[in-house]
Amino acid sequence: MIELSELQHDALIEIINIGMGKAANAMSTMVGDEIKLSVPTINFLHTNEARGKLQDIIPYDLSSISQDFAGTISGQAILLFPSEKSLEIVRMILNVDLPIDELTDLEQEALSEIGNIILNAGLSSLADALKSELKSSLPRVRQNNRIQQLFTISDDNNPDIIMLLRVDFIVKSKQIDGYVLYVLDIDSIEKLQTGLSNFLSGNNLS
Amino acid sequence: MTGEAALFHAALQDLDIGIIILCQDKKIRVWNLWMEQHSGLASESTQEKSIYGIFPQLESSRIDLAIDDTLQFGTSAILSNALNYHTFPLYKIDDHETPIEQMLLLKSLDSDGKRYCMIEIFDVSNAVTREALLRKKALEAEQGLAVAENLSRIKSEFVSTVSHELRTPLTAIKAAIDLIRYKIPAEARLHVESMIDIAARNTQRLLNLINDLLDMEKIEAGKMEYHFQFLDIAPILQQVVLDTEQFALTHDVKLQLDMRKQDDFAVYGDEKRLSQVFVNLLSNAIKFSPPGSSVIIRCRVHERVGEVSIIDHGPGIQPDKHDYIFDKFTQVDSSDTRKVPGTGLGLSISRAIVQNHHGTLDFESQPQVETRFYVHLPIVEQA
Repeated sequence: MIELSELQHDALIEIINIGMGKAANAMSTMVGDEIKLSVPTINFLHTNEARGKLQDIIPYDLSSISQDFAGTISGQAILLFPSEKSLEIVRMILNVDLPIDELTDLEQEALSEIGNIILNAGLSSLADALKSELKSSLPRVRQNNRIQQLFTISDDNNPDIIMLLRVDFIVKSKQIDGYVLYVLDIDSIEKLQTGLSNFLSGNNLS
Repeated sequence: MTGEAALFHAALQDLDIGIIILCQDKKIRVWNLWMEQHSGLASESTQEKSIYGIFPQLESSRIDLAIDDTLQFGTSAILSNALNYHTFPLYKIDDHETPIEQMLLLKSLDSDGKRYCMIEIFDVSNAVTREALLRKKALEAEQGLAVAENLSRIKSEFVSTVSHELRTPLTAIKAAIDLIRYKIPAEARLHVESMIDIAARNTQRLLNLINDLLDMEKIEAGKMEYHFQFLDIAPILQQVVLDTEQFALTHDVKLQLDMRKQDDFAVYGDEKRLSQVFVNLLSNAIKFSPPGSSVIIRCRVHERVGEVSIIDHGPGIQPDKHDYIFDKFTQVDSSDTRKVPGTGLGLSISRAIVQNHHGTLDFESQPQVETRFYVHLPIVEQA
């Protein structure tokens, strides 16, 4: 399991939060309402541990927005909400109150964009800090999923590591918790660690 | 342009979506035919011009930031219609006054060691119109539902009020008729006996109707009160047979209680309500039985379930009525000339009461041969 030093850990949280700040600004401007995004915690977990933890947090249906990314580090980035929360977020942001308990196609596209902004913000902030590229795919939205369907348990010899971020999403003074997962292989984790060391030795976060 | 390049160029031109490709300095490299048709700008006039030269309003907008990220990091982006209002000033081909509703995808393209940003523009006007309609319909349906619920509530209150108001004077009339029947000497009643009978019978019918209506309203409002306790089924059935014996006699129908010692079972229920169910089923069976026939009340125990069946040999229930028999105001014979009186509420009320006891009420019928209504109730162990 990855062991980040306290400095590296703090740097990682700050890098991601810079990205989230940009994403929140972009969204606030778009919807003309203040949106806040912050990542208070980051944990590194094995796939099955992450699955167990998320199962406890979101035992029922969940909505996911995922993007593959490739570059210095490669993997998959996934934003998770309980299904009913994704409906709430989209409708709060779009300022609509529909008596329909499923997202319409256009609302699903809006959810896809919200996820895309958040995931890209984290990725580009990481890419910027690590002075690398992180080419990403378009977002895929899945509704009414279970944790088990989200990612498969990786090969025992080359286990994937999940970088699990809690995202506090504040829209119209209401807080909704979401989760961002970066599914990374060992190689990418090592590169991330090296990148963070370089970042700390060569850069100043302020 | 020759060979494959010409083919790709032709395909790009012919796409049903708009394509813009920007190079690193955000100058336009590709502007396909769809873009020409919907922007009114020829491809030649856009070449090597900055996207902001063409659309100055885009500078520092959401798409501007997304283009920056795509060109710098290679990220892909979606700009949904719901969150981005008319990103590009594009109009319908045949109507240059009507703007196109758009959804945009941004992707990075790497070629010859350079990075480009490709913008795909989708016309989602039809989806927007469709969903606006869906929203309107959904809101109308919700408002309609609220109106219907309000009307239903007003109707319930009306029925309840009227029924109460009717029951009070009717009870007084019934008491007066009973006084005439039982307290006035027979010789004094001699010439009015049949009229008093008619008055008594019809008063009872009206009272039954009102009691059924009030019960139905209570059930629908979830206000029916139950006094649950541990009960043996045998004494209840014996009392029900006693209570309906006179009624059976007037129809020349015999009642048979088919119950062995081992068939008694205990339930957790409301004695008054369960009796009401059995009296209702028994009265129905008597009413529809041919004179001289028998109605059987059979009690049996099947593992954890007790079963009470009321069996008659009347005309039975035609198959086309099977689905509606438990609906409110449904009668087996609903013709104008029907011979058997009743409100058509008894079976709905009975089923609701049985369901409130975690049981079931159902039937099977072979017209003209045998009809069996049966109640299944969970058996309880008495402490």
